[in-house]
Amino acid sequence: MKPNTSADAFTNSLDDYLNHGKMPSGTEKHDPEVADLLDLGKKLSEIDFGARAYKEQTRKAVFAATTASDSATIWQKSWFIKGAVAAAAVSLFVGVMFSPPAIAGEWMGKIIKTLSLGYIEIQQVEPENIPVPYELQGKIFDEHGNALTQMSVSDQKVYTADGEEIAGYSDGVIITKQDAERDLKDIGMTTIHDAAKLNDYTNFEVKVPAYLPEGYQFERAEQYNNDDGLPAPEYINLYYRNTQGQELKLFQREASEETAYGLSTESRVEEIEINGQPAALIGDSSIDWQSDGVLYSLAADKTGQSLNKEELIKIAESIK
Amino acid sequence: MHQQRAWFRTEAANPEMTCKQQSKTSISEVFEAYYERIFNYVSYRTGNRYTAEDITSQVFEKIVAKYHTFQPGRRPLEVWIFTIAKNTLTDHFRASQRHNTCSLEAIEEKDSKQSGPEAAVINKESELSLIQALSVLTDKERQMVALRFGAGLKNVEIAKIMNSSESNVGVILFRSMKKLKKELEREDYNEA
Repeated sequence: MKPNTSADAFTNSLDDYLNHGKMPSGTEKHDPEVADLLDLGKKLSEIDFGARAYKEQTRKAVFAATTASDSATIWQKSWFIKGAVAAAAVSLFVGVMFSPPAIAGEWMGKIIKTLSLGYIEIQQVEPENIPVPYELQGKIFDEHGNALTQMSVSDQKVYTADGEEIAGYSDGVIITKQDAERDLKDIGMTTIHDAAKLNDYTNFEVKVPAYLPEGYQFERAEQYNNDDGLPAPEYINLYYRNTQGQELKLFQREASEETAYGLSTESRVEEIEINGQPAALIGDSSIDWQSDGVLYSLAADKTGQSLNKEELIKIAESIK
Repeated sequence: MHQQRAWFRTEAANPEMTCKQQSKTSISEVFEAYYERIFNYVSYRTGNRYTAEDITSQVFEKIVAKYHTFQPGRRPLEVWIFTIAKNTLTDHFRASQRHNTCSLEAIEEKDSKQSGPEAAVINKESELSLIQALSVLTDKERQMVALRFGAGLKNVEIAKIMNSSESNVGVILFRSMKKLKKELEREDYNEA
């Protein structure tokens, strides 16, 4: 028998033999060498290296490591917020609803688009149900008290076992809405009513829009207080209001690793430019961009008659 | 001030938006499905259970970190996963600067402490012989054997990972099997 015929016979029968324990009839009789080699292959595939002994501890180590460590994932890099500014404060910052997210790598769904704008990462995801991430399994429930195995990435209220609404998840800790609101109260905010004093407690130059749509005026600015009770100089939130009571928010923060943030949204994300800088237009009602070492987030009020995107862009571009 | 990390997102604004794309398995499911295969593959290459555990963890950390970049449909998940595993091993070998041939201490240690039924001991002995026999293979042959029998990959997938052709993989595997068989017969003969 020619060697290559045996080689072919072996190669062609191996998959079947490994998966089903069956070799072509007559192999043992007519091609005993091949039969032996197939047997050997099966033995090799069945060697028990003791994987099971380590499985659980590996699982814990891997999933804990990826949430706690400062690894290279874009999620971790972008998603750090500093100090006393609690998770809830962040939700105020970008004017978004805080919801139970997926763990880095868990947010598998369908990522439609990712925009990287320096220290800002904007990701558009498709609305869908995702399996509850390992870390949250058994810990989140629907309003009827049923443990969730799937969660919707869209607005879905989720609760703890005690029925408390969950606002978010940060660093291995589930944050209830109550916690978040209390943290915010504890943090304290400094409010500034005089537009001339915006730079008093900031590290960076606070720029304001030169253009505002009809009826809008500066109402107030707010800063989060640090543990020592003084305003944190890296952040400032500006609020404008029109005669109909609609709000326009302009949040600013000094760009750094610590203030960097990321956002996942189901709204359409469009890459635009603001004065030549790449920017993200989210759902036609907010724009995020980085310019001159400052991160900007401009958000229009979605209630009632909202500003259209051309207006928003005009406002953003007038910030110089 | 301590650092915190949080994720957050905006409210859904476009419920009518649909986008048909291939779905991806969740990372938990990936762990379930591939843990043992990766562990076995790494064990084949390192011969040491403790190293295998360590490296398997590293492989998963990388998988988790990069999973968001994986596009189903571009190449099979298996090829992607085992390419990461293979590269992790390459880095490990380079770093440790010694090519681990079979380190049997860990496996032998476990068995010597056991006084189980005869059948169990024999099983372990035959597994030991198999692992010992791997030392007659070249590095490339051993890599392919590890991918075939440790990782459980098909020749066509092995070819992609090793940058070779399917037929070449078949030839090398066949040759490796014959070498192993010959070595095992020699061991048997010596013991007899």
